[in-house]
Amino acid sequence: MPVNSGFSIWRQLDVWLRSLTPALITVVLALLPAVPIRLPGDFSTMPALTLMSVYYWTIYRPDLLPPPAIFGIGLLEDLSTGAPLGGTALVLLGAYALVLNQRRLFLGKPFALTWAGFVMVAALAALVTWASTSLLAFKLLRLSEPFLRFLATSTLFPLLVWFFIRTHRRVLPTLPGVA
Amino acid sequence: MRGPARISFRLVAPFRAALGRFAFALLIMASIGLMVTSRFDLLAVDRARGVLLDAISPFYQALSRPADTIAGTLTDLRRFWQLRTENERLREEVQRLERWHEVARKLDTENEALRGLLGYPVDSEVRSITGRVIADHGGAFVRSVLVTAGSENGVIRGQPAVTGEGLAGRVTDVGDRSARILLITDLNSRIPVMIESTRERALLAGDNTNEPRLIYLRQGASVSPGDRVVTSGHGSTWPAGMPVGVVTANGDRGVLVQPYVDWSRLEFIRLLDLNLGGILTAPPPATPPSRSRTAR
Repeated sequence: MPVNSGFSIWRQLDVWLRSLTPALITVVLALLPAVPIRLPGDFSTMPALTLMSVYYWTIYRPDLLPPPAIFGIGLLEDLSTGAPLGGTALVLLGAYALVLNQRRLFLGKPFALTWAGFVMVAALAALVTWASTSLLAFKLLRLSEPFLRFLATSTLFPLLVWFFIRTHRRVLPTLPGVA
Repeated sequence: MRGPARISFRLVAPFRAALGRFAFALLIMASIGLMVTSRFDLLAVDRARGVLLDAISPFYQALSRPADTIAGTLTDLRRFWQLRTENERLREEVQRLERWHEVARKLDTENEALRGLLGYPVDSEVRSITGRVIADHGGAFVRSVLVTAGSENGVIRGQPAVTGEGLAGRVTDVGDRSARILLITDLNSRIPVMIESTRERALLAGDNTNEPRLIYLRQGASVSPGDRVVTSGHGSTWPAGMPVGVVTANGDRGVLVQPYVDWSRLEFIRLLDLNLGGILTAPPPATPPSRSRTAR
């Protein structure tokens, strides 16, 4: 029936647009850190927002944030912050692979466990970034910067998750999941 | 109908999984490859960076104005409390500077007269391109900013970027309408400088702190806190004598320099078009020399 098929096309479009949400959120989070805030002093420590997003969506909807999207988002972040191209993509893809393997551990468990898992991933990410940047610069860099970044990232995680959960419930309630 | 579908699913599923793993490995390798190639100056990569820079700059242009306004209001509020003391300080400074102004004028006339005597060629006038800072570094290991001026405005790689206070950095990536400035505090920044009073040469090497270090300083060169550091112009066609910073310490960590530029108030940057071509740049395109162009 024509009416029915038209309805289903709109429904398809709706589902498709909604399923883009995680990727779009992550794109915005990739661009956000470089917005100049010009705080007095050296407030250059920015939390790794995209890492939180990749972590969350890989646990709950890995189908909506596939590796190619993560790769592109990582490149975008490097480009906007001026970091060596590929570094963030590498860290995000590593986090994706790590979390995807263990995601059943977190599904339906209390938030504290998810947070603890994230703290570990964030620590690893900071270390990998530090090591790869040191390698590229041919010298050992100070650990204080990645450490501050790790602290900021771990502390801000619950706030972002609250936002992700809200978005998840509002935008993607009826979509078939792959739990 | 269920039978064949199931069989094909059984056949396709492992294949798809293998393909997925292969694609994932490819992406990882691409990331590493990109990181390594970023060490080298590849023309294609540069071009791509420029194009992508232009693609993201509208986003930052839109966001940076409200961000500037908020930051400006906060600074105003904070200053309001220090108005009296600030006023007092400025009064004294004006008095001091007025004396210097006198001295400078006298020296300027004298200089001109002496140059006339020697037949010394006057420094060619430097055209400058002004860009607004729309994005700064968000990463832990980078000190760079994005400005709204690109090759359309005459920006080329290697140009020095200055503010009213002193040298800020140099152009590393150029798009049509935007460019990235590597600040002198960045890990990868190396600027040929000299101590103004002793003409002792060195390289100013950033290390991601607010105070870059002087390296390759002559053994036994006398440097003390308070010495002014200016560009030496060696190894490039940068003008010599651009103010860079002041020596703050000469100790265990080496000779530290506090740049004159206030990083927290970096809103506009001037890029000097020297029209000569440094060692980092290809010969610039012949553009009609106009005094100063401003990009949006």
